[in-house]
Amino acid sequence: MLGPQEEDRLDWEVRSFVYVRLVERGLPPTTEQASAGLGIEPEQARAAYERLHARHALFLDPETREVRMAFPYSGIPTPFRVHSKGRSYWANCAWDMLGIPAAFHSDADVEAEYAEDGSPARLSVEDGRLRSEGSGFVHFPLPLRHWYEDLVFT
Amino acid sequence: MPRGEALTLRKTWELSKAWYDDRLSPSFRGRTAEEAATILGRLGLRGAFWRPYDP
Repeated sequence: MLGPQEEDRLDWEVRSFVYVRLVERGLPPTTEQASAGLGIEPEQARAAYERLHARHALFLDPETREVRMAFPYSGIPTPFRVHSKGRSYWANCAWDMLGIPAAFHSDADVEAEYAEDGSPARLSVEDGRLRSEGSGFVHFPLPLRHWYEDLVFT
Repeated sequence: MPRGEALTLRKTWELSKAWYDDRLSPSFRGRTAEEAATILGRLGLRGAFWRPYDP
C-alpha cells in the first residue's frame, strides 16, 4: 500500500512513461505494457491510470480502461492524422491536430477532413508557422468548463 | 449540435502552442483552472464560454 506522496510520484512516473512510449511508437501503452515497462504490478498500473484519469491527466476508454486520449494524442484512429518527427500520430480533434506539432515544437504535416462535407484538409507547420490551403475554422461545441463531462463529443 | 464557438485555424494554432507547449516535459504536472484561464486570456479568449470553471 502506497502513501499519498508515493502514489503521486508513481502517477506522474506512469504519465511520463505513457507519453514517452506514445511518442516512440505512435500509440499509448496498455496498462500491461506500463506495468512491464516500469517494473510495477499490473494492479498498480491500472490504479495509476484511473487516478490520472480522475485528475484529467489522461482520458481512459469507458469500457477497456486503457488510454483513449493522452492530450493531444489519441489512442485510437481518428480523422486527424499528424506526421511529425518521422512518425505518424492520431489527434483527438481539430484543435489537437495542431497540438501535436505544438507539443513537439516541430514541423508537421496534417491530414484531416472538413466536418461539413468530409472533404480532405491538408495543413502543415513549418518553422513554427501554420500553412493551410484553405481558411478553415475549428468548432468548439461546448463551453470549456463542460469539456470533461463528455470529452468524446467535445 | 450546440452553437459553441469557432476559431480560425491561425487562432487555433496560437492556442495550441500556448496550451501544449510544455505537455511533453517530464516536469509537467497539469495546470489549475486559474492557470488555464490566464493562458486563454492572453489569447483574448475570455467570457463565459472560455471560463474553465463555473462563476
